[in-house]
This record gives sequence, structure tokens and C-alpha cells, in this order.
Amino acid sequence: MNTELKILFMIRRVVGLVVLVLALSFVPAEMATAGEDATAVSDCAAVGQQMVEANSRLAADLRQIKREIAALRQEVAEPGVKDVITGIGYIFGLCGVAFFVAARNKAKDSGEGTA
Amino acid sequence: MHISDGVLPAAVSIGSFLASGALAAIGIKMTRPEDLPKVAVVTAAFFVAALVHVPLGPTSVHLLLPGLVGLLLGPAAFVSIGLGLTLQSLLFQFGGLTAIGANSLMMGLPALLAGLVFRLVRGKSLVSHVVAGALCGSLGTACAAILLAGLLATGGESFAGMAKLALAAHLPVFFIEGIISGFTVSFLYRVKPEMLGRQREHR
Repeated sequence: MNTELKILFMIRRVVGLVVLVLALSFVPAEMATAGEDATAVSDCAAVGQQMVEANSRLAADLRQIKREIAALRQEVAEPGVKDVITGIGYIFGLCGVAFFVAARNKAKDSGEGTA
Repeated sequence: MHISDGVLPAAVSIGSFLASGALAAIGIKMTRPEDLPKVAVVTAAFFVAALVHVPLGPTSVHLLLPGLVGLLLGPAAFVSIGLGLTLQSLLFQFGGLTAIGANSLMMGLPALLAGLVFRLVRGKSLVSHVVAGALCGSLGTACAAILLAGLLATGGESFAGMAKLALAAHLPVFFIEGIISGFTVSFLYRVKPEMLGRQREHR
């Protein structure tokens, strides 16, 4: 009976030790997760702040690009050398046709006159 | 200075097209074939002149030369200006297509007037020619600005303020065109007097 009691007490001691160790191991874990939660929260705020700053930089870049597009559009719409040459060509061409018609009418008139 | 699309009421636009067409037909009838090369060169000059900008404070206005075209071409000036304006509208997007009739009236009538005044006033000497040329050059532009103000005023009350602005903004152009016309007449008088008028060609 003494040995049985001794064995029981030993088992009780072992179980108690195991429970103590487990409890001790959980406590730092809890403190650790609490710390991680705290750093996780502050990381969220920092990341949010970075995102806001990046967005405002992107918005400034977009505004710059829109200004450049407007200036480019205006530059493209300006009349160029090509248009000037086209217009002068049209003018000389139309006057040439008019000249031709007038000359042909004159030749016809003088031809009929002499005939 | 060219009127764009959508400014003028439809009645004004259509009426000015008809009037321009009639004046152009009369001008074509009155043009002799020997004058056609001169008409071509002067039209080309008028066409390109709109690209020459006169800076005016923050913006700039451009040269118009209706007076010079009028005093060089006489009755053919209306056709020349009409053609020049049509090409400017198509190629340079200066002024709207529906406003070509109004723009032709706005610049063609002062050109015809300047031509008439030049023939009446010009006298015989170089100095009187130059003075008459400068006067008619400025007169052409001044009348064009007045007609522009009148045409804009038909567009409604909102355009009346713009009309006054247009008049004021073109004051430097009056002076510059007067100077340019004077120099051109002086040069032609010495180098090729035949270009200055039909009367001289007959002499």
C-alpha cells in the first residue's frame, strides 16, 4: 500500500509539474501575442499613412500628365507647314483652272470671230 | 478675328452666304484673265498672313490684310478673300464652316471699300501713294473690326461685350497694317507700278 501511495503521489507530482510547465509556457505566449497585436495595430496605421501619401503623389503626377496632354493637344492643332503648302497649292490650282477656262473661251471667241 | 461656328443666328449666317455668293459672282465677272496671276499671289499672301502673330500682352492677334488685298485687287478682292477664308477655315480651322459667309462679308466689304478709296485718293506721286496705301490698309482693318462687332452683336447680348473687346484688341493691328500697306505700296510703286491698279496698266 505504501508503494501504491508513493506511486500515486509521484504521479500527482508529475502531473502538477506538467500543468505548471504548460501554464508557464502559455503566459509568455499570451504576452507575446499581445505585443504582436500592439505592433500589428501600429503597423496598420503606418501602412495606411504611407498609402495616403502615395495616393497624393500619384494624384499630383496625374495632374501633371493632364496638363501636358492639354498642351500637346494645342500644339498638334496648330497649323503647320503642310497646311500652308496645301492652301497655296489649292489657290494656284484654282486660279490656274480659271485662267485655262478664260483662255479657252477667248480662243473660242477669236476662233469664231475669224471663222 | 474669324467668327466660329455657333455664334451667329441661322438667319444671319444664311443671309451672309447669299450676299457673299452674289458679290463673289460679280467679282468673278469683273476680273480680267490677265489679272489672275496677281489674284493668286495676293490670295496666297492673305492666306498666310493669318499665321503672323502680333503679341498683345498675354495673348496675340494676327494680321488680316483686307485693306492691302482690296487696294491691290479692286473688284476681285472679294473672291480672293472668300477663297482665302475658306481655305483657312478648312486647313487651319480658323473660323467655322457655317460662318464663312459672314467672315467673307466682314473682310470682303472693307477690302472693296479700301480699293475704292485707294483709287480715289491716291494721286500721282510716291508720297501720296504711300499715304493713301497706309490709310486704306488701316481703314480696311478698322472697318473689318467694326463689322465683326456688328456681327457679334447679332448673336445676342452675351456677345456685345466680346464685340467691344474685339475692337479694342485690334488697335495695334490697325497701326501695323497701315505701316505694312504703306511699305508694300512704296515698294510696288518703284518696282512694278503695274500691280498698283488697272489705270496704271493702261498707261
